[in-house]
Amino acid sequence: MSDPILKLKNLSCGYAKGFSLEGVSLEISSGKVCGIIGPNGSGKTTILRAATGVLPIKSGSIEFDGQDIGTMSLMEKARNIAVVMQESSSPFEMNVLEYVMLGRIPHNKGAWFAGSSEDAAVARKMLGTCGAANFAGRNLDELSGGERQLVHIARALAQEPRMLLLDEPTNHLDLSHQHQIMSLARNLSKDKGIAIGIVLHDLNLAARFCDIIHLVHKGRIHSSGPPGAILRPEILGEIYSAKIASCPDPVNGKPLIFMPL
Amino acid sequence: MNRRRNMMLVLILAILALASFFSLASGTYRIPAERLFEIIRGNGTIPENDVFFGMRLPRLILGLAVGGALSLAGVLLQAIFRNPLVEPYTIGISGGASFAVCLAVSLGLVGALGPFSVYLAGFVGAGAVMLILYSLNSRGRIRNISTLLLSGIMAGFVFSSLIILVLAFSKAEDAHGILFWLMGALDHSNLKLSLSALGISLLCLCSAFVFFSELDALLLGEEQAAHLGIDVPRAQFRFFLLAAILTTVAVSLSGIIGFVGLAIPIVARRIMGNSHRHLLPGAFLAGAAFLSLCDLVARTLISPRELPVGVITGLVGGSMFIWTLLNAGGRKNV
Repeated sequence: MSDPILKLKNLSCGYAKGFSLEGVSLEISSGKVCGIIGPNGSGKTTILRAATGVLPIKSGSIEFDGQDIGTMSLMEKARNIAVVMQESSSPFEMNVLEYVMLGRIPHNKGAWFAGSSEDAAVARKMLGTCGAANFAGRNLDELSGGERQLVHIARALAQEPRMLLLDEPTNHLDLSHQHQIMSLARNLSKDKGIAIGIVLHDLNLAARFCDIIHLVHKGRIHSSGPPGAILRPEILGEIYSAKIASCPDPVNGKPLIFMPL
Repeated sequence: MNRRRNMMLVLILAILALASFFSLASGTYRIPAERLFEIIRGNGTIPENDVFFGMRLPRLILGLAVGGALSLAGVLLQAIFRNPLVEPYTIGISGGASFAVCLAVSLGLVGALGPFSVYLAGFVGAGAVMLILYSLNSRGRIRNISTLLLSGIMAGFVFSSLIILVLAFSKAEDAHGILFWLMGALDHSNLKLSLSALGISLLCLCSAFVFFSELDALLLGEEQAAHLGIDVPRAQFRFFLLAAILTTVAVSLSGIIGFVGLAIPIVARRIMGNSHRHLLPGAFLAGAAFLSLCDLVARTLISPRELPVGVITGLVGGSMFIWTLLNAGGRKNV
């Protein structure tokens, strides 16, 4: 259950003009939650985008399940890798069930098969998995930020992916929804064996829910390892250029990060 | 939701059938219902056949084709640009077609080569703009879809200026003809042309329908669509090309008929939802019904005189658009 499904090997890639990653190596494994943390502009989202093979590679390689990702077709990638980006809104109203059914596109065999009752059944099942079954008949715009995020994840799950990439899924959410989203990510990895790659700003959420953490700084992986090894005040202080302290969480013993006044 | 959609589809079809019936029957030369069926069965008198097959049927079919084409083009463009305010006349294609037609009229080509030259000129003008856009796109000069939209809008301004220039240098009678054509009309067709327009429009509808899930995905944005396995640049260009063909058919055969491509997709989205499986046929039929209804009004309101149909669609479509805006209540789709 813990074989690496995605391997970035010494990867250098980036945008035509602007930010780029240099020599990034990391692995995301089935059944594990892999956190990607780092300051703003360090390259977290770029790593996520690189992992889907949408950025041109300068050097290095990206392998998905042993296969060079560049040789996979778009549909093949979409059947294996699902992504929930930070901004997933549309200027058009959309019914929740129909929105989640869009996740079935990579599995459709053509127009006459799209939107079939089987697709609707999968979409409803995924809404149920995310605790969002009651939203099926509503419009996406009517939902709160947290509810909408659950629906976005349900849409990604409808792709029946082997790897799920989430870009800052807890941004702007209250504590309860943050916990709900992160618990869902952990359950998906443990119960369904899905490899989860998740970009996070909240270091305490990363400490509590991630199995492994990659700390990104200036387009490079600064360090990788279990939360206890990475979320240390001396490392974080250097990367975030701030005075950072930590203490053991009284409930689970994991590091609790804070900035002392 | 599906039940509501089906009911709406039945309602649109009923309006379409009624509009078609009254379009065929009404006018200065009134044809009673029982005679309509006799004419269709080949038992019409010579004047009846002349009116029915020579004027009313081509006009009705053209109305259905152009209304459906403009509405469908609007739906496609709104999806690829993710903007509910884009319409067929904002992409530059119609500007190219209009300019070419105006030039043909002004240079006397229409008088020399006959009415077909109007349509030919429209296709040449629109085709030239399409080729330019295609070549810019294939050479990577159009980097994203916003550039394409802005290029289209700017091309529209350039062609508007060129049309005014042509008008300024035209003879008075030619200028009058150009102005009337620009206002939009459905009475310059014959059965063959109308049927060809309907055929092309329906072909475009079928082509778009085959890829309806790609249109759904494009509503989420380019990157999300790519994550769903869609080849976004190819899909965008495919739908752009279809919209361009539909716009060309409409502009070449009927001039500038405003608001159908903007107002009908917006109304259709509200009643059919945004899933293109239902929206594509729904919007096509609604556009067809709307334009044939407007043409019926344009023909009969001050009979025996006629109003340009573009005036009616502008008045009704514009009012409908404002009403939709005021009643949106914070909803999207407008």
